[in-house]
Amino acid sequence: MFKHILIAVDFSPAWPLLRQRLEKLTAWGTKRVTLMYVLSTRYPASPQETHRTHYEAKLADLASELATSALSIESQVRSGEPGAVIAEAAQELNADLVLMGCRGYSRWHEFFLGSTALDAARLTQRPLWLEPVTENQGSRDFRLMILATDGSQAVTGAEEMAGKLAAHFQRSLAVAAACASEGCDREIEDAQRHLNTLAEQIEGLETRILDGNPRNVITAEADREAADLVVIGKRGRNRIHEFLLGSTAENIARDAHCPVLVVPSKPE
Amino acid sequence: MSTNQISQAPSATEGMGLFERFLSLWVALAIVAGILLGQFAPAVPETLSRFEYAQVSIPVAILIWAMIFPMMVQVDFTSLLGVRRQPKGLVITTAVNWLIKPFTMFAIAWFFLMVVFEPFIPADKASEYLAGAILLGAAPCTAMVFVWSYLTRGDAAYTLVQVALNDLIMLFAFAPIVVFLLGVSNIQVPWDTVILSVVLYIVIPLGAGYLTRRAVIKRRGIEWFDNVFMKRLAPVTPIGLIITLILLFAFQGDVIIANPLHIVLIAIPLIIQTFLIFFIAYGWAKAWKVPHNIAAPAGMIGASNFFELAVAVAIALFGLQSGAALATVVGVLVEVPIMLALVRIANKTRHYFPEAEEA
Repeated sequence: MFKHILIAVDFSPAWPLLRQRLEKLTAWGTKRVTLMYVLSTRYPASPQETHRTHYEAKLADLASELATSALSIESQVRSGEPGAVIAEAAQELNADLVLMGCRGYSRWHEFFLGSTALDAARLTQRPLWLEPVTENQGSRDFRLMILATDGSQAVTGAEEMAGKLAAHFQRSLAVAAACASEGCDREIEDAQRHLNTLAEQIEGLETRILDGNPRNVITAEADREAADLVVIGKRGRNRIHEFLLGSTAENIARDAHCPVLVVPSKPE
Repeated sequence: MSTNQISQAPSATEGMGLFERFLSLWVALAIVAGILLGQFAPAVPETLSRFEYAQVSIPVAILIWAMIFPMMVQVDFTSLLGVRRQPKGLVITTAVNWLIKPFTMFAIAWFFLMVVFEPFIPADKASEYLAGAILLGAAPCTAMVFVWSYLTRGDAAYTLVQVALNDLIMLFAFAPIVVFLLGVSNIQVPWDTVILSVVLYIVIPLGAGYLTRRAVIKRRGIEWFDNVFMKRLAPVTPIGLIITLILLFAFQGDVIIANPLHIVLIAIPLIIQTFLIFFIAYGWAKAWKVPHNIAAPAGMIGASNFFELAVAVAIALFGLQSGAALATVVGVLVEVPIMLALVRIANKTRHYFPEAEEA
């Protein structure tokens, strides 16, 4: 399914989780894996170029550990703003999936230090799998996938991806966040019609309308259902909007306690 | 199996974090917050300013160390072993940074502040602003330059060598240049005060940074230093910068409210100087057929200032309420928009330069 996977390695506690996830994903027919480490230039960081050979050797070790007869492993060390470099590299290397760890940082931490994962989520033009990094947590199985949809152009890529992934999960659930209170009949009707259309296309798909702001209710539903993956779409937003509000995808990626697959919108 | 490469040039702001991308906005907000603090709770900055030792404000010294130390920890003097790798680039940048830049900054700032803007700025204030400009011109950039280098697809290893070399030269050249140019401007600063500033804000952070770096890497290894230690330490710099600016403007409120135009007038020579220095280094690199991945960061290093140090020394030499401190903050205010303009120029003129040789 994902022929070429690009993994962002940062030699943090995220690595064992990413490795477990990679082993599960490669069972779906992956042929090529690229391991990438980025020497950061984010202010006030200096890219530690004198450490480049150290990281090249470390990545080569990881590559040889992961290599199998069916899997080609490459490794690269690059310099730059980590999130942007990963997103660019995925496009340049034509990766089908980017896999990286995501820590639940506070907004203060993000502001002063940034978040590589959320930067990559903002900039990626390829599907991005964010694995939450928490202590004492193993890589989850493939029991329940939740597709978050609003029926817009932005989620067409996510819906298509969910259709492909459904076969690998025991259960698939599509949710649409809408005002489900009194007086919102029209909105509920539209959302339900869209969910019904999806259910016809994806075998066994359950559907549900959630009441409230998508950025809150989708993560709450994922927690309640103990979801193993949330699939969300993302659209290109203008910078002012991104700066003031952030995107729904970014907020879900920040708050979710399970893996999140961010899928860029398909060109109109 | 392993490849070694610099990524494709990103769009001008995509490859920047939120803090550095909107630095001008945060500085502007810090100015407003500082003025409000000074107007409505003047006891706070006044109390803080009373904690002094040997005429050095302790809270300010702590903030400035917080700002500078994380940068100094990352200065890697072993990178100087690569000094022969790009000799032309290093010659250009070293000459521009230390033999040209401080003096063009002085000349341009003096011409505008003392001659052109004479009707708008009182002579005593103009002298203080000139002193701030001199401090900005006396030290090349140490941290933001890596962002500019990355945005122009510059050679990060070359940039690292140049920064380490500059920091070494700065130890010896900063004080004489500052004292000489301030003396030419009839601004008398005692040598011992300048030396104290250099010791406090260059020698101590650089020495402590070097020892910390060695100790941490020896005890915990390279990966822990890069991926854990530095990630914990890095936010201290922007936090230190913003709090320093708030404190500074708590003292500057009356000046700003009375003369908001001064900020614009100070910015003009700083902007002209930035463009001039960039084009001198970049043009020189073009004449010497230096590849673009060296030429672009060579232009950026000189054009961009070590504003954190300039703010620190301005406060140490002239005080929080001085015009010199205000001028250095204007340097921070204009840094990002101007440098982004230079990034765009460098990226659009890439084809005039030879391609980089394969590593």
